[in-house]
Amino acid sequence: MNLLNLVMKKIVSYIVLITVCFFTVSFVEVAENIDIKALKNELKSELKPDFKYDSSNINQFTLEPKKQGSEVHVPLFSSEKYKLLFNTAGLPSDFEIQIYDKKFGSKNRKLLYAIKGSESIGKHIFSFEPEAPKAMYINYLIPASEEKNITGCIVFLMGYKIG
Amino acid sequence: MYKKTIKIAAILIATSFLASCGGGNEKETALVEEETVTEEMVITEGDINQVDYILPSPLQIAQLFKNAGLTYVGDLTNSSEKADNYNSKYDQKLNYGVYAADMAYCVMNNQTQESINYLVSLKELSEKLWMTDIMGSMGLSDRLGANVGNEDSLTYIMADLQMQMDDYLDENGMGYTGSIIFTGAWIETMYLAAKVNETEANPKLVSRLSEQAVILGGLIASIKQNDTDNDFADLVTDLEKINGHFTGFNDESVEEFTLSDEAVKALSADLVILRAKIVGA
Repeated sequence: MNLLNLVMKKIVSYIVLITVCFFTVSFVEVAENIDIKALKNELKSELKPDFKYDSSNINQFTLEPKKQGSEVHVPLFSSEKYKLLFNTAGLPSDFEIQIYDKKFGSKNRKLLYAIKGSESIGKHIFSFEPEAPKAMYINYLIPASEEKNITGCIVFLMGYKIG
Repeated sequence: MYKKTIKIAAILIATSFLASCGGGNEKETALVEEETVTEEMVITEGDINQVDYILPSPLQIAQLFKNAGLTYVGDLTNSSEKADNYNSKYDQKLNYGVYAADMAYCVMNNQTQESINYLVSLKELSEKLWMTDIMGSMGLSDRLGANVGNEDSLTYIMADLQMQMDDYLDENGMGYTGSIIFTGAWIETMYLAAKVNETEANPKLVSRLSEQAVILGGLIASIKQNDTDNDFADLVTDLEKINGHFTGFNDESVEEFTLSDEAVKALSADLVILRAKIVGA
């Protein structure tokens, strides 16, 4: 009986170990084997049928023990219509995307649109069509992490429609 | 004891299967409704460690000018036969942009043969810049020929070309080249608009010329950010001179900025000088 207990304990331990390894390996794989072109192509198909491709931006990062942020300046012409698209499938952890009307550090800047990874489970494509386009400022925020060698990316793509 | 452990293990395994089955190919379009969010998460200065600048496609700018009344004047564009003369990478990148702008100008004015001539020049410069994949895979000449007279289809073809180029530059870590190519395209389009406006003053064109201020600051910053060897210091100086004409512009203001007649003349003169430096005599 004791021998059976011992064998069962070992089997359970191995199962737990394999499961943990699976999670760790698949997480790293998601981060390291990102097919940026595929992520971009997903966004391109979201432009159809009304918008033409305008520009794109890839923001790559490696997780660090401190919070990281970056800003993307997006010039827009007021008379046109725009579609701003984000693909967050290359993000291995929690994130935030915020769009402001003024650059970082400006007084009274207004938050126009926000995405929180923690509140968007199951979604990885996000779209924002500003009503009154002018220059906009996108902030990406990546939380601190003690995990090592985890990389990721946010893909941004923009389409325009001449009004 | 181990019954509990088995349950935990079973849950973990089940979860991992669910995650691996459901997460990978999921394509869910989340069209989040436009809304104004008033709460702001606190971001400290130290959190922002990178700034990127998006540059619009030259095609979009060309279309804006076209809709504002940019008419076609044949001898304004750079001769497609000069592609052979551009031997340095600096000239090749800038004039790739110039030719892309000229091609867009011709496409939007149904100048099909001219468009194809510019396409040949673009192909030649792309080969010199080792960007052969961009042109090779698209069958551009055939597509252009098949869509003669259909401006909308032709602009989609141009948008595809831009997309291919951006993908190529991204995949090959050449994003910086995109800023230089854009500079050539932007100067050429501004030059065309300024010259056409000289022949017949058009307030809509002036309005479009004025709003281009929103791009220039980011363009200069983008070039400076990557120019560690000061290869483009002269170009930056020239662009800063152009930017001097837009000092009244504030990208955070809601008020429309329009250049005065004198300012347009002065801007045009500087554009002519810079454009001549880029394309050569």
